[in-house]
This record gives sequence, C-alpha cells and structure tokens, in this order.
Amino acid sequence: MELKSVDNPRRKESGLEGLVGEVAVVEQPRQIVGAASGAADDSKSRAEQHFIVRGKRAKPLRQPGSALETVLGDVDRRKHILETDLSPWRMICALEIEGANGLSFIGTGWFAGPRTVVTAGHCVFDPVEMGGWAQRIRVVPGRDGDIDPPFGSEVSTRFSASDRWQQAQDPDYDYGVIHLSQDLGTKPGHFGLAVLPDAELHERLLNVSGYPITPGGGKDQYFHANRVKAVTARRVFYDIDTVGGQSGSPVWAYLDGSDDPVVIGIHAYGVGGTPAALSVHANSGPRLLPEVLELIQTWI
Amino acid sequence: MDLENEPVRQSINPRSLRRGRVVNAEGKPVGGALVAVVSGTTATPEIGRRTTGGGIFQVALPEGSFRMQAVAASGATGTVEVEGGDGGEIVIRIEER
Repeated sequence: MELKSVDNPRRKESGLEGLVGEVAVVEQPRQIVGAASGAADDSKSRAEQHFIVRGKRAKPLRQPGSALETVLGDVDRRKHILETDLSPWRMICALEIEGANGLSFIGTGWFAGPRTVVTAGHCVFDPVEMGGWAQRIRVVPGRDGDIDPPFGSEVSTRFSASDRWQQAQDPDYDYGVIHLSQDLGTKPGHFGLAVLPDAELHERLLNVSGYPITPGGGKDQYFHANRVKAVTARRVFYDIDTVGGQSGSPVWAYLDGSDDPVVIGIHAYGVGGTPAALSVHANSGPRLLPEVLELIQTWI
Repeated sequence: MDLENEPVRQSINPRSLRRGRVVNAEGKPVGGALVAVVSGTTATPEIGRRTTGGGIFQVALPEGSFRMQAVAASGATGTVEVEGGDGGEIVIRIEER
C-alpha cells in the first residue's frame, strides 16, 4: 500500500486507499490493535474514574432535548478535564492549524503512535475553507490552558489524508494524520484501534474528549459520553455533546473488561445531514473499518 | 467495481466559501475571536476558525440553514442565523456580558 503523506509544498497523490471502502460491508470482522499507556505517570485520574463510560446501555444516559444543536439538549453536560497530564487525556492533542490561505483554525487530534496524530481529514486538508493543505499545525498533547504543555509541543508541516477525502470531501472518509518528527507520543502513550461489527457497536457507550472553541478557547480539554445512536456502513452517530474545535477527537470505548482505551471512530461532524432513514439527530464521525485501520497503521 | 478506473469525483457535499466578520457592539472588528457552526440542517465540519486582526474569517457552507457562534478572547459571545450556499458577508456581533 502506498504511503500517502504530504510535505509542503503540496503534491497530489494517487492510490486506492480511500476508495477501497466503497465495497465495505456492514458486518465487519472484529479487529483490535492495543493501546500503549505511555512512559509518564500511570496514576488514574479522578476524571477517568468518575466520567469514563464502559459497556453498553439500552437507553441514553440522558434524553436529548433539541434536534439541531451539537450540544444535544437543554444543558451542556461536557466536563472540563483538569488532569490532562494523566491517561487517557494526555493522548489527546490541541491543534493550532494554519491553512494554505494563511487563516487560522483549531482542532483536535490523538496519538495512534509516538509520531502519529490522527485527526479529521478537514483539519489537514480543505480545498474550500483552508485553500488546500494546512501549511503547519502545532500539536500540543494534553494541553491545559496556557500553562507549560506537560509533554511539549511540535509544529508539523507533514500531513496525510484519505484519497477519497482529498478527491471528493466525502464525510464518510474524513480522516487524516499529522506526522511528527519527534517521538512526542512516547510519554503520553497512544490509543488502541478497534474495528467492531455493527452488533458490537449497537448501544455501546462511547467517550469523546477534545478542544472546543468554547469554553476554553481551544486550550482546555472537554469531555462528554453517551451511547451509540446509530451506525451506517462507514459512520457512527452518537448523542454526545461536542462543539466546533473538537473535529478529530477520538471516539473511544473499552472492550472485554480491558482498561485500554480503543478508538472506534473519529469525531468530525455536528448534527445535520444525518441520513433520513436513521431518524436520529446526532453528532458523528467516520468509524474505523478494516481499510481505515490498515491505512492508519501505514501512516504510523 | 473497477477501482483502478474510478474517476476523481467532485465534492459530494458542495460548499460555498463565505467571508465573515466578527464585530463588537460598536461595529469594530474583533480579532482573535473563535467561530464555529453550532447548529444546522446539513452536517458541517466541527472545526474552529480564528479571526484575523481585522475580525475576518471564512467558512464553507453547504445549502441549508445554520447558526454560527463567535467567542471573543474575553468570553463574550455572539450568534447569527445564516442561510448556506452562495451569499453575502456573514457578520457576527459580539455582545459583552
């Protein structure tokens, strides 16, 4: 499989990775790639003990009260994560993005390897809003406001995105990666990856954490959890509160009694445009499928 | 399906690039504000946009109805209802609390 990465100035890549999913089937085989807890302090954070959800649930943790808001209900239930130097929060990165057009954006990413930060495709490449590939992205793992970043930071100029995202900006293929030149992720550790069949995703409780524009101005990490509301062949929908800036956040679960956080999807979209057949209003992101997992592993 | 001959496609979710401006109650530009789409009838990327020193931002919107929010460094916010697709400048007025 051809490695698709881009060093600025941009160059057009061709390959099949982003198109393979066109023949995806709904019932995917189960595949799991383990997480790494990292070399830093392995103490449990209080937020992990109190907020994280596991397993499945027949009903949502709360009933959403509105139809079109990305904060799904009358109350924003997101939690401010203070212990961003502890796992899994430290595996999540604030992104400061400079587009090809010189404009600035904020997003979220997460470590899939020591030098690999996965994010939404539109955080690294957007031909409309960003004018093409990002010029540079500052990656700050476990950012907590303006205090010194607990694991440092790096400015990257090397990115990849799925072919299908590059060619057609298809939301189902909206994933990409930031390549780092240093092992910035060794201390924080990295998430595992999981491809789950629909039946395993059904009613599964999920966790999402990232860096929204508000509160915190893209500098503070906010978390929320709820359950899978629907799945399609390539996307997972959930009634978890998110706000702009959280694009690229990990959507993760815990499987088989393990404490390893494993990502099953990449948050990318607010409500709206949900397939009518699903009869749901929910935030969403592309789900990990065998070819998505394979592509991420190629990028690592 | 012959993937080798799969044509390069146009965007399946066409968006129109719109220029926007964040201003305060006096109509002066608010630089460094953050802007996002907070609701809509069509899915939009959940990226955040930071305004230039002149309060300028850009947003790519598909057809549909949307609410956009701007947040100043002070924490003051403003919102505006917008019709997507082609259109004029989007102005978001920040109201100090």
